[in-house]
Amino acid sequence: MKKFLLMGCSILIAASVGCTGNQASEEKAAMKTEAKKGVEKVAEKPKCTVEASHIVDADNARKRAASVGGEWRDTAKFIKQAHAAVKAGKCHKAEALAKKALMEGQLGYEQAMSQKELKMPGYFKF
Amino acid sequence: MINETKGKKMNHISTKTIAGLLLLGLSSLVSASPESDAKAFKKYFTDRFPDVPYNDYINGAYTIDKSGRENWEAIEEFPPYEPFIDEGRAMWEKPFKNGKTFKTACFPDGPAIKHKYPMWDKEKKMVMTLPLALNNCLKANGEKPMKYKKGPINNIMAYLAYEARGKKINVVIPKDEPGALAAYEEGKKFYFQRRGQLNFSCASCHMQNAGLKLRSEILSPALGHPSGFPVYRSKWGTVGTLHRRFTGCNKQVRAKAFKAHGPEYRNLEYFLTAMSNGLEWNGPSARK
Repeated sequence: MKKFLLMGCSILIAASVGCTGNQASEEKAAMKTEAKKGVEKVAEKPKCTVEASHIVDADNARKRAASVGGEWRDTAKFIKQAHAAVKAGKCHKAEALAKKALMEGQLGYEQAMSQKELKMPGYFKF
Repeated sequence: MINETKGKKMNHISTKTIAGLLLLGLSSLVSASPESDAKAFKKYFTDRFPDVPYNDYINGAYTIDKSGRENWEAIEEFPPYEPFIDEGRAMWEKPFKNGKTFKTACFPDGPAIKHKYPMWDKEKKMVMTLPLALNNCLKANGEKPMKYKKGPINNIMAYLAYEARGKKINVVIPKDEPGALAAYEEGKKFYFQRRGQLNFSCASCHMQNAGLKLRSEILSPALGHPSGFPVYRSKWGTVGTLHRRFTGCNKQVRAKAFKAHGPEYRNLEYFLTAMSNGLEWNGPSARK
């Protein structure tokens, strides 16, 4: 009799554990789908907005350098690449390129201004 | 008392020193005449390379690169630019749609006209280069102008350079034309201005470091630079113009290049060619 009682109890316990296990996996699956939905919601929002504004700043710096004949070779290329990175959703890459282009634009302008007046080098003697 | 005298002396010395330094500083800013510039330009190179005969500067880097010169002389035995000269001759003689040719329409003294350029155009108040004059002629006769760096321009330039070989470089900066001197000064400024990410000027390579190596290449001296253009460059695999080379140089120092035959490069050509006054025209030529 005791044996029967013990077996019955163990079956009940196993069944209840199994039920709770099923419930947990169902909950996990539900959470996963919700998380997926969340990601989709984020993706729907416009990406790299801050980076895009930095690209505009960089392009303005490039234009300023160009206005005094001081644009560097690769600045426009970096800006183009940054735009492409924004389109591809690669915000970090876009930011790095915009930063580089901005610095080149600023340095190009400063360089051109520093060379505005003709300074004959010391080795050129009259 | 002693301290006061010392102080006065010190003041006197420092005033003199400052005045001297100021004068030195100012002298480097004062613009010299084109003649004295050319004299100083010539002196710089003749002092730097005392063994090089002056007339040899028309040969670019091969003026000072002995082993390179041997190769170049071998190349010149069967010049790679010859087919371009032939094509150019055909272009020169081919009538436009209106029946006129370059000679009858625009250049009656041709085809040996290269030595007349760059020149100050009194009517247009700008430096006129030969490729620009050729394109103006084409446009005036209802023809399509040529591209300035690649293509047919190199054929006709090779032919015209060949016809002017041996003529003296003689760029005139008319004294009664203030615009001409201003253009010359702009060209001079461009030559000595540092630009690009590498912060180099034209003079950094072709004056200050002429004769030294940049990687495996010997930097050519600026004196006589325009003489051999257009040049067949092995790197290009074709003939190219002086302004194409300007573009390449600017890109190499990581600066954005200017428009070929735009005001910047035209003025630069005016200054650079004037510095070689007295040397011979020797184009077309072959280069690495």
